[in-house]
Amino acid sequence: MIKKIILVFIFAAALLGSACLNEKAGKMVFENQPSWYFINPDSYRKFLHLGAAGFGLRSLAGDIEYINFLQYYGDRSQNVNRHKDLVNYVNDITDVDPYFSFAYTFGSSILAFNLDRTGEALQIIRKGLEFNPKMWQLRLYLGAILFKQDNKEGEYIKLLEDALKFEDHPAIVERILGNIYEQIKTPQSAAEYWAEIYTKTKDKKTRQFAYDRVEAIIKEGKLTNPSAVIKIMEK
Amino acid sequence: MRRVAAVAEYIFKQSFRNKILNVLIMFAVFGIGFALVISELAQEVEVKMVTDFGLFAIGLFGFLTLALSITVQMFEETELKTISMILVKPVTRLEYLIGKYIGITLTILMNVLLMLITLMVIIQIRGGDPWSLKLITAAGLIFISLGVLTSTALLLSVISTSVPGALIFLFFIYILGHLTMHLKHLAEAINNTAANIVINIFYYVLPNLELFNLKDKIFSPSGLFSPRYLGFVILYASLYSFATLLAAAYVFEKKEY
Repeated sequence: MIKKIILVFIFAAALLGSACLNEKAGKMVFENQPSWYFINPDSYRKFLHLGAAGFGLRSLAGDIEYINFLQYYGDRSQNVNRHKDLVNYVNDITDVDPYFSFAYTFGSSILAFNLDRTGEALQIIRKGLEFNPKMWQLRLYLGAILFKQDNKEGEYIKLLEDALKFEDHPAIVERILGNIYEQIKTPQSAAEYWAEIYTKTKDKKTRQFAYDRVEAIIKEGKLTNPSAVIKIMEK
Repeated sequence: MRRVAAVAEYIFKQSFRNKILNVLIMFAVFGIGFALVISELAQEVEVKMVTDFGLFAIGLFGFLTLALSITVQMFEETELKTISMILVKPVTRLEYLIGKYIGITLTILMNVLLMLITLMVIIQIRGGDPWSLKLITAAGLIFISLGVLTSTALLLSVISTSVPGALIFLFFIYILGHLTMHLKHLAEAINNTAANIVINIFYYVLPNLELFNLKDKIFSPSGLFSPRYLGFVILYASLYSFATLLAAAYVFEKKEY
């Protein structure tokens, strides 16, 4: 009988102790995570988002939405309508994983500089800043898009060049700048830029693209010093 | 202690003798390897994709290993009556239960370690940092959560009379264990006393598996990787597992085979 009472007492103490620790650790989670982290009315928009929020898989669901976004942007049949739903795809990524910072910079760069839809790009960057106020790089993109909206080419080029200095910039910025340089700079400078990108970019497709651009500029025969370009590429 | 170790060794070896479990482990390692293929689709965020997919696979396959181990053990004990042969030996029921817990936990640890090593190799291939403390902590907490689930599964296996019954309950606990924190958050928002009481009972009685979930916080500015939080969670896991094992031992002691 005494043994039974002791056992019940130990069991109750262990359960109570675990409940207290659950309360303490749970409180830390509630304090640390923003309210959107838990299941909320936004989670019900898509079953994937609901499941991801419930099972702590927001980051993975964000990756899946990112792949959907890339598939949509890579779909040539959507060129006709200029990828009109692109902003929705970016929103799908950032709804389920608002900390997916790359989606804000990548999505807004495409929308503003490739598709010329600065309004939608600004909407994405502002959403990014709302969820990630400490991510100052987003302000750089915000400035560049605002200058683009006002057609202040020199100003936004400068900001894009600044963005390029940071490791986490999307490779699309490298391509955007290269395309601008081909229009405003000499073929020699543009080719040297592409050669630099060829050696430095982390993105395989951009590396190939840079190589193709250097090849195309060389074929045009307008380079003043082709060996300088080749030297950069051999670095 | 030696008898507990002997039972643990027997359960561990028994698990690896099982072909389905071996296939599952191979599948798990290939599953992680599949992250390498999937990451090809995630232009410029390959390391994030590999890490997220890898940790998800570790959690999923770890849980499947646990479910399968419990199924195999229960089937052998009840259908093939191996438990009678073990209990006539000089091993107390408590020693057998603790040994079984350690054996299954070791099987899961082996599986988790294999998957983590594969994941680290893939992250290295993709140019990421395989020794990231956040990655190792997240994987460690997945293993600890599986340890908590193992003790709950053992309690279910001694309470339940059939293998499917225990498995169904285990799946329910796995799902509810992840959802209770969200339910508590929702309940506070709706301000309904009855709903609050029911949800609080679930919240404190079922294992709170969301506490162990750091896998979707690796790429976020979360402060949950602090030693204080990890200390609370590890202590919680120890106390909860102890309580459930104690309950399981009590029921097991009374059970007639």
